[in-house]
Amino acid sequence: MSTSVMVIGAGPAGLQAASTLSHLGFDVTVVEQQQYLGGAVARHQYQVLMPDFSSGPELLRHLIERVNEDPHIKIYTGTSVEDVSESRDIFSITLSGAHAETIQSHAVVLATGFDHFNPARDGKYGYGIFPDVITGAELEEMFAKGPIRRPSNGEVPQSVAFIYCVGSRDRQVGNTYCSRVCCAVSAKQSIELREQLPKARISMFYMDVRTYGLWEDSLYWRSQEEAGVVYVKGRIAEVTEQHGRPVLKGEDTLVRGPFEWPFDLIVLAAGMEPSRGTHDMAKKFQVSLESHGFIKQAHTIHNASLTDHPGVFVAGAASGPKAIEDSIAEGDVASLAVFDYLKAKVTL
Amino acid sequence: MAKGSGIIERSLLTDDQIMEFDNLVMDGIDISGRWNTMLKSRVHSRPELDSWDEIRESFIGASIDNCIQCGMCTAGCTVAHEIPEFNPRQFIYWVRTGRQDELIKNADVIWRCVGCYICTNHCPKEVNTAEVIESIGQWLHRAVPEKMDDAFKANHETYRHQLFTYGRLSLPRLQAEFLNRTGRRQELFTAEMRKTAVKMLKDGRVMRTLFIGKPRHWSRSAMVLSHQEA
Ligand SMILES: Cc1cc2nc3c(=O)[nH]c(=O)nc-3n(C[C@H](O)[C@H](O)[C@H](O)COP(=O)(O)OP(=O)(O)OC[C@H]3O[C@@H](n4cnc5c(N)ncnc54)[C@H](O)[C@@H]3O)c2cc1C
Ligand code: SF4
Ligand code: SF4
Ligand code: SF4
Repeated sequence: MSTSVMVIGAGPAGLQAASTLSHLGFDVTVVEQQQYLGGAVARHQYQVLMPDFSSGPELLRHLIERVNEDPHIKIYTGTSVEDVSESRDIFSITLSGAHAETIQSHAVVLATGFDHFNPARDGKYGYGIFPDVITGAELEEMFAKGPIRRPSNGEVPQSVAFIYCVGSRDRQVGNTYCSRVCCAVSAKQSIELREQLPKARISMFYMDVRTYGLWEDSLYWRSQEEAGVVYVKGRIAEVTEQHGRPVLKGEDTLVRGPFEWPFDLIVLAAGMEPSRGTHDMAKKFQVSLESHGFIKQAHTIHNASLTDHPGVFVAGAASGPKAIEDSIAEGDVASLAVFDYLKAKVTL
Repeated sequence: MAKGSGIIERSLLTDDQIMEFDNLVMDGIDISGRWNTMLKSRVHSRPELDSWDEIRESFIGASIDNCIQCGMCTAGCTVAHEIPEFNPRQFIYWVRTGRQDELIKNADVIWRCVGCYICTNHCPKEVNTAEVIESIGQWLHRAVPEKMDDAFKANHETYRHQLFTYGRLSLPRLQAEFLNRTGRRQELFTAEMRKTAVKMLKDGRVMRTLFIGKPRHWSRSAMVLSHQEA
């Protein structure tokens, strides 16, 4: 019997894991609840990726072609995990949906990713009330579909504000962590916006700018130096509306003092939360969550993909907010960890 | 002559940065008048941190160390939008950086918090901002009582007295005592007030005001309060 591994979730992390596992000699089943592959990148049609402005659709094509062409990988879209039992280190996994069958697996990689924080949960931003208040993900979809216009009246926005840390770093909403990518993604989006809106006033309302590592100059500085974007240090307490335009009520903490400034378009840099699928799978496969609700890495430093349940591995945003590059890298890390785990047990 | 009138670019300075003496003799040399105009050092070199300890150790000020200086409190603050100098975020910053000079200079601004708790409700770090500001205000009461003007003091004393005596507050009683304390008793008997009194007699509110009553076992709570007070 060949050794088979199940990958749950077909975002960047899961797709990478599937391909690498197959290269290592395993038979792989990829289970994805949606009808499409590619996770968040496909769902929101990211066109241009942070940090290197490479093409989102091209990345997807690359990741998806590899798994589609691989005879050792079975792709089950529209399929969910119903039930899991385990006996002598073999998981017996019952699926439902498009491929309702039961599969034996020697190891499992959870790549179930994240959900966007829904800003409607935090009333102060007026999301869902004012049409010109959108999320960063919705801005990505706008980039994909056509020119940027104000949802309220179809006009070209003359001013755009980004609000950072929406649903992150905030005890009031219960998320005390930083979502890590939204600062850099917002900077990237502002640079893209500038190409379309040469005259617009673009302002970023931040608490800290966390374009860490190599993203400092390539994104943060570039947005200021080349795109003329303005950074205002202060959190927004309320979005209201006046004369059909959203108004930001905030404090400029550097010059000190409150402001109320109108903008044509507001982009909320909504953070990442563990996806519902991540919670579901953690329960079914009996792995612990860490204090923020992501899958707990048993040895964070030693190996990013180990959970506290032998045979169950994790990759990507399921174990915490991270960028695509890290999610893909972790797809490989998890594959090697699976190899390490199984080579002692099964002769290939 | 106006303070510092001989200084070029006078607009860049505030009054309290300028020292000027009508009569001054230094080392036997008379430098009275404009000759002795001096500027205080603009460098702050002596952080005074005992107020910080006092505030973080107080029951209501304990959450001060949670603050991340994001500005959400000031952004939503009722008073900040009326008085630009009122800035709860910055008051917290001054406490933590030992700027008692600034706190004291702005005491009458800091005391203007209306206790609406918008800041507390917004704060992403669960600072109980409203109560931290109150705690700073209380520290200032102790540090610079002379900065409270008479009306302010009378108001303060009135609330305190009513609360300690009855364990609850009644608006007519507060107003009566306040006017009494500030020597504005006659304002209780204006035509407008009389009209109100008649109305309150009719609808029974007068009785509720006169016989305000006390919470159960008030004497015990009062003892705790006066103990804290002592
Ligand atoms: C607005 C925004 C823009 C971004 N832009 C960039 C960028 O430009 N560059 C960058 O590096 N990063 C970006 N990111 C981060 C990027 O989206 C993530 O790093 C990446 O998507 C994580 O990949 P993943 O495979 O771990 O998870 P996901 O992409 O979330 O994929 C998880 C997949 O698992 C599936 N799934 C979940 N639960 C189950 C289940 N129980 N059963 C079956 N399937 C399940 C989901 O349907 C999904 O397809 C952005 C994030 C946001 C919020
Ligand atoms: S990455 Fe930036 S915007 Fe996102 S949570 Fe962290 S600090 Fe806030
Ligand atoms: S909202 Fe809270 S954390 Fe932010 S500055 Fe005010 S007190 Fe500090
Ligand atoms: S409680 Fe005081 S500091 Fe807080 S918002 Fe109200 S007025 Fe401002």
